[in-house]
Amino acid sequence: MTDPTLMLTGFDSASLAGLASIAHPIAQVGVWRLEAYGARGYPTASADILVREGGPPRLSVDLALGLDRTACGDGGASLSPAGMLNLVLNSAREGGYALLHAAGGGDPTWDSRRLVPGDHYACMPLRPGRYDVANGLGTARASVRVTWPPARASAARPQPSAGPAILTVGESIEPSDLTIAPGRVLLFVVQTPARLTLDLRTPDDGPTAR
Amino acid sequence: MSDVSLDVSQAAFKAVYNRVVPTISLPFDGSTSLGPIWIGVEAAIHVASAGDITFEDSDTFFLKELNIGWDKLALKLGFNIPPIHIGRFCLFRAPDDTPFIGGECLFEFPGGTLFGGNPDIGPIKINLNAIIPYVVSQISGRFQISLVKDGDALALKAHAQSLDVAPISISETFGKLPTLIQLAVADAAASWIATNPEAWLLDLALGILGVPTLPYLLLNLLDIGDDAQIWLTDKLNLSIGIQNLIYQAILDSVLDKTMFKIPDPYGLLPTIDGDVGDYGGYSDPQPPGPTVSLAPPRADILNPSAAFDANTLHIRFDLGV
Repeated sequence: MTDPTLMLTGFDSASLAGLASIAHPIAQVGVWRLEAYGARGYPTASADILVREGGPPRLSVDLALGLDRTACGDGGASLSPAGMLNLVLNSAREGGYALLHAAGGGDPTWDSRRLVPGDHYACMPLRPGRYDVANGLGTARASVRVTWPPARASAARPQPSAGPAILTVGESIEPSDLTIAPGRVLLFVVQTPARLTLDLRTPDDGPTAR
Repeated sequence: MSDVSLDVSQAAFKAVYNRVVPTISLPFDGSTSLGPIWIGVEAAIHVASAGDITFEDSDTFFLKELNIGWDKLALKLGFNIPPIHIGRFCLFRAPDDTPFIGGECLFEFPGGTLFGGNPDIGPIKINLNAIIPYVVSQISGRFQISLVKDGDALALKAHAQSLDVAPISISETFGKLPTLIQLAVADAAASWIATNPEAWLLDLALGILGVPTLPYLLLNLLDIGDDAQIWLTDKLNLSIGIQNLIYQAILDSVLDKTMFKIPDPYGLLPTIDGDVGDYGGYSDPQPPGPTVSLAPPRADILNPSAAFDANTLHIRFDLGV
């Protein structure tokens, strides 16, 4: 059976799900607490993250699986200064988000629903068609067209992992019109507070005679 | 020397056996998984007749050939489209001059899988009735005879002692087989595409796999090669083990055949009806009417035996008189 996360035709950085991921850098050494929440705001997991010199460059966390047992191991998780949290939610049923707290508690220092400069958001639209791209915290808009898969007889075995198509999210989203092959990753470089959405506006049903 | 001895010739025995061996249609099926394909057979056969019979020493005979007829032969196929794994891969790395983590991957994209199902397409059925005339199946067996009491009779039974089902073979089908398979696969693919709302995903997968059409992919998965007959017989014999299925299907029906019966007790004369007067009257008791019925003289069968000797079956027994 096809992984249902591959069938998604909409993406929202504030509700992480499917073939999408958020990267957030943590610059400051210390202990941080990451809390994961489901789509309706109920907490699903939490873990302490030790940012220290010599830590790994990235820390992958699946918000669907919980942090303590799966992603971080028994001894907690560590990360190098300037390393990045990589958040995913490996489920198509509902999205989720995460909050990051400093060791002393208090208000979160980062909310994955509100991306900040330095963050990155990546998603992989597979369904051919035209998508509307928007920053929900601003006015920037763009359009992405995912083409129908290449002619099969002459397919040169396209590699989905071929480099990502990069979009810069500032006052505007550049480029504002982009065409990609299905399976290519869109990588948003966040330069202004952002909530990024990608919605299939016009599906491309391809050639009628197959 | 026995009281009674009956001799049955080999020709007569074969004629009788041919009367008792035919069966009704015997259905059977079986299947197996072979990597990306699932293959099965759905068939029905009947035992039509017996070929040459050779009497052996003692109480066994060898049946050189049991002729079977094919009533139905269909191939069933299911396909697993090979899973296509997407990701994980690095989206960007830290600049080389970054302290501690220079050049390291900072953001890795998660993966996913296309077509992880089992099976993705099928099962589809390919009717092979058109090639039944070309299917050759050889079955031989050794049978043991015995005389057993069966109600008011002594029955001569033929028990299967061993049954040997040879791998089936398919003679030249003059192009029918490859065409049948290709048409069936094309039909199945077309129907799957027509009913599957995620055709774009299939096109994407085929693009990644580098094959032009779904039938092409399915035929690739079948890996038929140049000779469809060889492919089919390999799959039927080696993969599915059709000999065993045939063996199981016919074993019960030929396991224990009654060839003929001898009444036991054995009637020496029929019942005799007569006029009372013909017997000179009765003193006591008096017969109830003017006629009388005399019970037939009968004798139990004792010490029965059946054995082959050259071209003759000898049945011997004594009479308990």
